[in-house]
Amino acid sequence: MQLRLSSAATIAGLIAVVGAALTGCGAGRGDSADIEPITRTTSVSTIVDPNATPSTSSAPQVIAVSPASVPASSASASSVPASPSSASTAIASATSTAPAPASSPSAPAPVVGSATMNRLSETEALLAALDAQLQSATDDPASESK
Amino acid sequence: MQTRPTRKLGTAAALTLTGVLALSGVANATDASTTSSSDPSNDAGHVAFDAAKTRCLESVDVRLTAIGRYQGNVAAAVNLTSDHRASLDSILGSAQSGLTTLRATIEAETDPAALKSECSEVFTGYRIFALRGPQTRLSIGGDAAAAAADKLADVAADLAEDIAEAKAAGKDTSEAEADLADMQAKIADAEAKLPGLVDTVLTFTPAQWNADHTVLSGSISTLRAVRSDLKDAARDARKITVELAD
Repeated sequence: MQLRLSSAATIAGLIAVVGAALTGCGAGRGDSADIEPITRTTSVSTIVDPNATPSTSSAPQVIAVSPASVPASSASASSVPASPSSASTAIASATSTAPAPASSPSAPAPVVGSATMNRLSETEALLAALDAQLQSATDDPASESK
Repeated sequence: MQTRPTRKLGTAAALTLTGVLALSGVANATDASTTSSSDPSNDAGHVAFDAAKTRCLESVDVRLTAIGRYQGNVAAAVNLTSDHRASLDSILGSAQSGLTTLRATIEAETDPAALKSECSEVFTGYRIFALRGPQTRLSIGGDAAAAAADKLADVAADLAEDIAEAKAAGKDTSEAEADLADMQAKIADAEAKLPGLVDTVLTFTPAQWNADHTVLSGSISTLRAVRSDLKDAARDARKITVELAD
């Protein structure tokens, strides 16, 4: 009984931590529709198995997941990790891979791709190198009398 | 009593010889080896001979240093074709070993006439600064230009797609299309000038340069024209990216 109370208190604490963290990163106030995109952008993360039996152990049971394996509902309050520290870790992981504001659906897509711009920059670097070589090719003969 | 004036005269003659050699670059010092003051058997001649030899060795050393620099340039040039790299390695390696051997000969030389001939060979036999350096530069530059032309052709293809998409979306792309046409024309001009350019540059020998000091002029002019075309094309590309973003 004492164990159950302890677990319930821990879960309540975690919900508070998750809510506060989500609010801090601008993902919304506990609205699961806002939480979902962040969870889905997690590439490889450590998320506590929601089906694991709550325990007083300090080492939570974790599983590695890929984005495809993360169900939309996994960001709900029922799936929060089993300890405050692991909750912080999970949120930090999710927020670190959250999409940047520039790539949000409302931002206009760049007309010319970055690969093209990179190629153009590389070309300009080559032309600068060509400038230097041509300059030296005409400077070198002046040294012949040395 | 008579020795002093003689020595003074000999020293003056030696200094004059040294000055002549210095001004004319050793190899061009005509008749320097036939003057009595360059005779290593007397003091004045010995001084002049040693000075000439020192200058001659310095002229070898500065060329060996330059060759090392060119070899470093070749090694660092990522766009050089394997054929051009092999040719340059061979040309520069031969010059390096030839000058190294010549240096040892000069260092051991005791005959003024032979020294004069060997010093002349440092210049006329190798033409490091007049020919080998520019050949290295033009080869690296030519292959860099070819790589730049390839990249610009890819950029033009990308931009053509971007323009088509923008046009399909209802954007007025007439200016971008005109710039793209100019860009493609400039790239084509550059590409037409490049084939064989570096190969030609690499065929010239010191003997050819000695006979005609302008052997590289045509290649330099062509490469400058290529650079101008490619810079225009790159400018067109930048302009198109701005036009599409507006």
